[in-house]
Amino acid sequence: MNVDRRTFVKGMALAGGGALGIMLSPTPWYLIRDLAFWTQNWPWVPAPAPGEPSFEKSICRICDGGCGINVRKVDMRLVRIDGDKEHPVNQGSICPMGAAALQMLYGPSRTKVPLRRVGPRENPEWRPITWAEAIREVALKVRQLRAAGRPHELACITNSAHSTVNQFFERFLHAVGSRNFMQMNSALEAHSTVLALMQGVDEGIAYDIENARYLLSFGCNLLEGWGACGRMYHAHANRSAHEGGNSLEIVQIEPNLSVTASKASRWIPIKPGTDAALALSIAHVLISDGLYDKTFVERHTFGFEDWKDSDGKRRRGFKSEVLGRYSPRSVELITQVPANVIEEVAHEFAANQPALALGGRCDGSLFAGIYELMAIHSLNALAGNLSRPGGIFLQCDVPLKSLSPVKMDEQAEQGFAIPRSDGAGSKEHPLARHLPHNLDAGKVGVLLIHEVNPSYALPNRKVARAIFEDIPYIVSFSSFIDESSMQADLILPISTPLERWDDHTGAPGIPYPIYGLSHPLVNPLYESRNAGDVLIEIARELGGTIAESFPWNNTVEALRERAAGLYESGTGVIHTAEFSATYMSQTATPTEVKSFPTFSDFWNALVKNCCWSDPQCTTDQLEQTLKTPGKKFEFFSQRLQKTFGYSNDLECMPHYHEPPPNPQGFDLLIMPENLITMADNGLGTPPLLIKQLSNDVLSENDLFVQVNPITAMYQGLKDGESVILESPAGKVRVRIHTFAGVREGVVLIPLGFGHTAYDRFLRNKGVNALEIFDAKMDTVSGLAVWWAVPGKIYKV
Amino acid sequence: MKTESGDQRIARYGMTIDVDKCTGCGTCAVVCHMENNVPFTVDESDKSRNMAWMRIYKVDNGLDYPHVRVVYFPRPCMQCDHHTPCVSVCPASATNYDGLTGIVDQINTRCIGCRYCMAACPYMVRCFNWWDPVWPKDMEKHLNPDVAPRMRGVVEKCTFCSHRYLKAKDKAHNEGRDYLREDEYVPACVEACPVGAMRFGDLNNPEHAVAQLIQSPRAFRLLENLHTEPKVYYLSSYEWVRKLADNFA
Amino acid sequence: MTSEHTTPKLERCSRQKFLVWLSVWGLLLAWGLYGAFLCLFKGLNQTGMNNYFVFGLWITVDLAIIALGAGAFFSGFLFYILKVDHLKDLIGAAVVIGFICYSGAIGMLTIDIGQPLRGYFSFWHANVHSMLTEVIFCITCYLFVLTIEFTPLILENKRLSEFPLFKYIGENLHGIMAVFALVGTFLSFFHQGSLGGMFGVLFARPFAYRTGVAIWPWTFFLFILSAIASGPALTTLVVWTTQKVTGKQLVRRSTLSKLAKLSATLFFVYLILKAADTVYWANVTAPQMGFAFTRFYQGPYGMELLFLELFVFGLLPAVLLLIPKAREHDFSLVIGCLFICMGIVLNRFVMTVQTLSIPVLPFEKFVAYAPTWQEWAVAAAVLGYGVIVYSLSYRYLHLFPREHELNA
Repeated sequence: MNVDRRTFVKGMALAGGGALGIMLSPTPWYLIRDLAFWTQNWPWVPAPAPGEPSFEKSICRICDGGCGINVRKVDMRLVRIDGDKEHPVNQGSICPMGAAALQMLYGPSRTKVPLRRVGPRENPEWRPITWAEAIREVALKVRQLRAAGRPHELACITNSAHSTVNQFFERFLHAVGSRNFMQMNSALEAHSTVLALMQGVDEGIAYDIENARYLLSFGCNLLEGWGACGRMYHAHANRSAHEGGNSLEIVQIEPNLSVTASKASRWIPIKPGTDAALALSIAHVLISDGLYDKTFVERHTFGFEDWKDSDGKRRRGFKSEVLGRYSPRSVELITQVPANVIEEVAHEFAANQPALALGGRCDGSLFAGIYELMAIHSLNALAGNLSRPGGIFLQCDVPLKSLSPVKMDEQAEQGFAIPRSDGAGSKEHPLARHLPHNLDAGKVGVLLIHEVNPSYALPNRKVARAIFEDIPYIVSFSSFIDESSMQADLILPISTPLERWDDHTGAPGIPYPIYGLSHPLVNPLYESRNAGDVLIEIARELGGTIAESFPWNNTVEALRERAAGLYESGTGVIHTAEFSATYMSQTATPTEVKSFPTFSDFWNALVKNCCWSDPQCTTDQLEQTLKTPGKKFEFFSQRLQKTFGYSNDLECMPHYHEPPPNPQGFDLLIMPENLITMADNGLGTPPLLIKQLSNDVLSENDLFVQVNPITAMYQGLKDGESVILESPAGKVRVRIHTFAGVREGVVLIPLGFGHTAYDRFLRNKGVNALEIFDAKMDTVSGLAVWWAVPGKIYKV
Repeated sequence: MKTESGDQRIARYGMTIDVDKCTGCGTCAVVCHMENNVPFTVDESDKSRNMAWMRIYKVDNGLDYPHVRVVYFPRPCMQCDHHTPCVSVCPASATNYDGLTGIVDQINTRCIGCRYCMAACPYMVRCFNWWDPVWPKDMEKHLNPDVAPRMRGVVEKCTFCSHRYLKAKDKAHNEGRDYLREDEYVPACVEACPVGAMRFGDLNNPEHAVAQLIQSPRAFRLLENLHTEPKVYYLSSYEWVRKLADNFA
Repeated sequence: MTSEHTTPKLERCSRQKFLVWLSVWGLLLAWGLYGAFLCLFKGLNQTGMNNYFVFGLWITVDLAIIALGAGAFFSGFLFYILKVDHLKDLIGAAVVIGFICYSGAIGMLTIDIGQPLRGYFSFWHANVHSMLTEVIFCITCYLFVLTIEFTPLILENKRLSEFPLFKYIGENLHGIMAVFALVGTFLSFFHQGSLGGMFGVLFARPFAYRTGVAIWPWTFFLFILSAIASGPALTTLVVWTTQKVTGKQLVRRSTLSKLAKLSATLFFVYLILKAADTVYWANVTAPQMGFAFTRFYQGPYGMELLFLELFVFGLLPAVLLLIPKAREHDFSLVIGCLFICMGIVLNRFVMTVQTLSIPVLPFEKFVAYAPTWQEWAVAAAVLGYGVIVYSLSYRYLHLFPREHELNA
């Protein structure tokens, strides 16, 4: 075949035409367009459904702070949490944990249905049961205890919140016949003991931080979750708000550069554990330079000057003691804080009134002993800062109506006569109220665990282990599959705070009464229920006086009944807010309780706005804050002497005593570190917070402890190296991160890691630092002391 | 607030972040990621691949104990104003600079995933979706319907919550206004900052707090020598912090 | 231009032997295709790339093979436009190498982007300010040109040319090849330059950024020059290797020498300009951006890379191949060409990976990058693909017009 130019052109035209034809047809274009469309709408990428937007208020219950929150809803989905700008506690500030709380609500570690354990505790399997079965089972166990004449072997460990549901648990135990109601110790618990000893009061401590000008913080991590986190953030935000006016200076006394230390006006590094000596040395300067409030000390204190007792014996006073033993020069040797710095700080403290001295390390719960906190609190007394603006107050009672008295049958009376199994209130620990870390597990037959995770978070690990080894029957009332639930016999799924009726009084450290009421923002997910409602049903199942002690149909009835007390008191305000559906603006006006025409109007406003407060009601009279027999602040605590019969006067006064030397071979000091991003009380940490962790805190599953580069050099360790960190109580495998902000000889280990339960986003990451802290018990308060532990570190 | 005059209607939204106040708590990042449906994975410690629109850097002054000091730099998108590095390089026009607001936005459905913009950005602001985003089943419930989750293979970044701008503008329009009040449009991070370290507003509007704050001698920006003209300003009284921002150059 | 109407019969190895040869490379290709499948199906998490190293091995290889494939356009330019006649010996091979390099690069790019199915958006929503747009446009167009240049070679195949239509097309395409060579040259200049520009314009990456003229940074021109310098070096290497593998003399020895000389000369000029550029950048550009030149080399990729690039894989082969005697020896010829090629690969690596390893933000640190097997597999697959296409071309097409004459 012969092809000429014509044919060639024809051929080309044909081919070209064909190609053009296909290209002009829609097929290829539709195809590539649709393929691109497909990639833009991949069915496996979630498309959140649009809906009607709205806002509702609630109370954050991640910790006991009681911050107010605004929750954005889209139809019945909760999509965002912001701080409530009108809430008196936090005024719009919330911590990252609160902001991420929805991840807990919708998270994969929620308990969904009641579960009964089959198989051994070490290797449990779970069988779903109905609520009716679950309630019958708990009732049966309680009935068996009572039938065996051992009602006092029913025990309960619950959270530290002051809530009606916790009162329900206490009530339930009463009605059954047991005193063993235990709350986990709150962060400021030790301060209550100090107030009891020095001021003779039972209430919690409150600080008027908003009006103070100077905070002398002895290791309090004010910006990492101390007190109500949102409140502290708000205070920090306003530190320099009023130029030349009421700006707030923070002086941080701490061995390591914490966040608070780095944000403080001044950081004073101190040898770990010597805070008491420093506080008393500051007292020395205040006294010797005449910088203390002489009028207050003269009129309202006891034991300052030398005194004579009823036998006419001469006793040394606080002044002689402090002047004799705590001169800046001698204290410099103890604390390694230069004498001139001590003097400077004392002068600043005196000059910048009102000033507050705060104690309690980390979140407030860590301390070396009650005398340390007494020493720090003495400074407040020297400054005369009791019941004064910017000073120390007491937490006020909220005028709620009390629940009707518990009805007890004979069995209950008998059981109730038997002392507690945790030793609180006993001869050894007369000042303590709840000592779950001292629970004698052998004396408990049935344990109810409510919204706490003692298996993970109890500082005394031996007791934590004994609880789950020795107690025959454990019920966990929990919203999450935590470590304690995993070792329980029955798991009861409890609604999270955003799905339930709940209340909360006593925001920590706030000088006036606040009552938070939260209502369900969404229907309970899964089969979860309100713990209060469950208790009512168990009580009914048990019948008799137990049932009679719970005359309500549900929790909200009891809440409403109690709130009547607020209405009847006629005091306080509710910040009533109107919301717009846009992002920002929200306007609120304080409405006085008096102005609500009926209780039902008041109740509706309370439910909607979630918070009642009475800013006018503070303990601003000294007779309210000083209730010792002599109505005086006692530098020498007569109660301490009376209770324990101490013969040595020093043991009734603030003093510093040198800690025992470290055991052989343990030449380092391990200290816990509080991270704002990690829940360290046994609660889970949501994934978006774990995202925030730097990779020198957590890398894959390795937890890093921080040491000073010089410490690392002495130990022959390099940054990032895998090491064993050992204390007399145990050892853990971690990696080290060198950071110049850690004091030489100190190993800082972050809390909140090493969970073995919860979801895959949290589980098995790092180690639980509590495993190496060998918690001791404070001799005076009985509270757990674990601010540090001797340690050593070596290569794997 | 007065109605703004005609020539001021072109806004340049910007942010100030007071690093002296910032405690590095991470609330801004958490709410940002909630607001913008930023996904998370089981191992978030791999910072080279994790998704973060807002990242918080902890930096110290390099001194020894006890002179060492720490500050935190929350780092959203800098929203570069001049010859925005990422915008000019994108081959598919998937990232753009809005002349009316100065916001650098990202059209995720147009992005082809070439990542050239990431190479161009000196602030490490952009994240590539190395995986398909996965939320545990019920966690999809907290996703914000105003922002579409992204698919794997595309680049994403902070947009100054531009969806909030659109909403606020719609609202203003419905009310017959052609301007926005200072508090009407605020990104999630600024709204949530619990210590008041972050401010937001129109840098062109002298009545907005940010416009005044950036005049302060405390104000500085990251990598000013590159002349990307970020609209995110930082504030600090410490010289080492200000110098650090430009690599001590 | 007239084409030869009678193609002499060429001697080739047995089919069996050829199949064994192909299957070895086929395995490599299959491995790479598996890697590519994983990357497409599971996403780019299969690679070692991350938010720091947004470009990795693939882009390095892309840039390198596009540069080395420049032999095609430059030989075409010299042969068709400047009428450098002795290049006729290997113009066919140069086109095939170019085709392989470009098609391989586009294939890799398709896997490299996160959303290959949306790849066409860069045409549809093109951003004319982006150097990458320029690159994508040019290399796609140039691949068309190369295909057209490749077509007559294929149609000359004895079997195919039995079909008169193919024969006719083949013969007539030759006639207009000069036009395509010109278009190809134009496109190539642009995309080689744009590839350099891609990094040179990153004004927020002080390590890569270069000043320049108008919209073109100096790297734009350096990339063009380095590409046309190294292209012939690769062609020389490939032809030499083909001769070794097949045991035949395929081109005149002098052609190889001339090509090497050309490569070395251009490379030498390139090095002078590169040195000037480096000096200016180190002393003026980078410091103005707040970066001391030495700071760039404090990470995992140190100053030794600069030394290697400029001297060991730069000045050394350039000078070597400028010595006539050295060009006459196979060993020095091959080493010279190989080093030039390696110099280019290294340059492209430095511009991409090293640029990304250097922290610009004060809070970031130097980072290092390690490709995963999937990335190596895909890169290796391009080699496998190249060898297969080249082998097929050699076996069935008339790549070397003088083969018959030289092996007579």
